Amino acid sequence: MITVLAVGVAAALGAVARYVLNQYVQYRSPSTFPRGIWLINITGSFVLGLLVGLGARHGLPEQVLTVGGVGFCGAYTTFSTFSYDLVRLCKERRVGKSVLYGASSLTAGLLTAAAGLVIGSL
Amino acid sequence: MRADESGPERDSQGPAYIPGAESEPLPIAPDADEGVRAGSAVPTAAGEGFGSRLRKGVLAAVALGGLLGGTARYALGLAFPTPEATFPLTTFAINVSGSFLLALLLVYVLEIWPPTRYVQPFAAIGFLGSFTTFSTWMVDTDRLLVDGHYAAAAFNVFGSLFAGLAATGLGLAIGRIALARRARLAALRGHARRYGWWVR
Repeated sequence: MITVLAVGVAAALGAVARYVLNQYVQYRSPSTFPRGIWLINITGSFVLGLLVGLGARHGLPEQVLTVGGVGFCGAYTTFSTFSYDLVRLCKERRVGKSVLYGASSLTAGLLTAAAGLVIGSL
Repeated sequence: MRADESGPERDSQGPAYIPGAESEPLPIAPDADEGVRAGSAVPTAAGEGFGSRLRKGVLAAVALGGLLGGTARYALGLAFPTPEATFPLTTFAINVSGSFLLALLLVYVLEIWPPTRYVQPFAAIGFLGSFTTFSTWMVDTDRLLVDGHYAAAAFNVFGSLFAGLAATGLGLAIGRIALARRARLAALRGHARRYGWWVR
C-alpha cells in the first residue's frame, strides 16, 4: 500500500517536472519542433535504463526501482503527447519535421536507454 | 478522415464551429498553456521571468492528474503483469489507449468546450501524460534486444509507434465527428454555441 502511494507521489513529481521543463524549453526557444518533450523523453529513458541496470547488477532495492522507474520516469516521459505531436506536425504539412521527430526520438531514446543500462550495470 | 468532413452541413453557414478545412492547423502541443497558444512565447521585455508564467493552481492540477495517471498505470501493471522477455502487452495497451484518449480529449478541450483553466493541465498533461510512458517503451525494447528477442523488440517499437499514430488519428476523427454533429445540432436549434453544464 505504501508503495502505491509512493508511486503516486513520484508520478505527480514526474508530471510536474515534465510540465515545468517543457514550458521552460518553449519559453527559452519557441519552435514548432517539440524540443521540450523530445528532451524529456530522452533523459527519462536514460534515467530509467540506469535504474534498471542498477537493479539488475547492483541490487538496487525493488521498491526504489518501482518508485523511481514506474512512478517518476514513467510519468515524466510520455507517449501520448509524442504521438499527438507526430500527427499534428503531419497535419500542419510539416511531414519532414514529423518524421525527423519520430526517428530521432526513437533512435536517441533506444541509445540513451541502452547507455543507461550499460552504465548502470558496470 | 477528410472524407467525412465534406457533407451537406458544410453549406449551412453556422458559427465558427463547423470543422475547418484540412489545412487548418491543429492546436499547438498539448503541453502548451494558454500563454504560449496566444503567441506570447517570446520572452517579454518587461522583465517578466519564467517563474511568473507558472501558476500554482495549474501546477497542482498537473500534480493531481499525474498522481492518478501514474497510479493507474502501476495498478494495471500489477493486475496484468507481462512475463520477462516477452512482448510488454500491458504497456502497449496503456500507451495506445492513452494516445486515443488524448487526441479525443484535445478536440473537446480546444475546439468544443469553452476555454477552461484546469481541464487540460489535469486531464491531458497530468493524467494522460503520466498514464502513458515513453521510457518504459524504450527500456523494454532494449532488454528484448539484449535477450535476443529481435522480432518482439521490432514489433514493440514499430507496433507501438503505428498503433499510437492510428489511435491518435482515430481519436481526432471521432472528435471531429462529434464537433460536426454539435455544429449541425446547434444550427438546427438556432443556438450559436452550446456549452456544457459545468461552465461558469
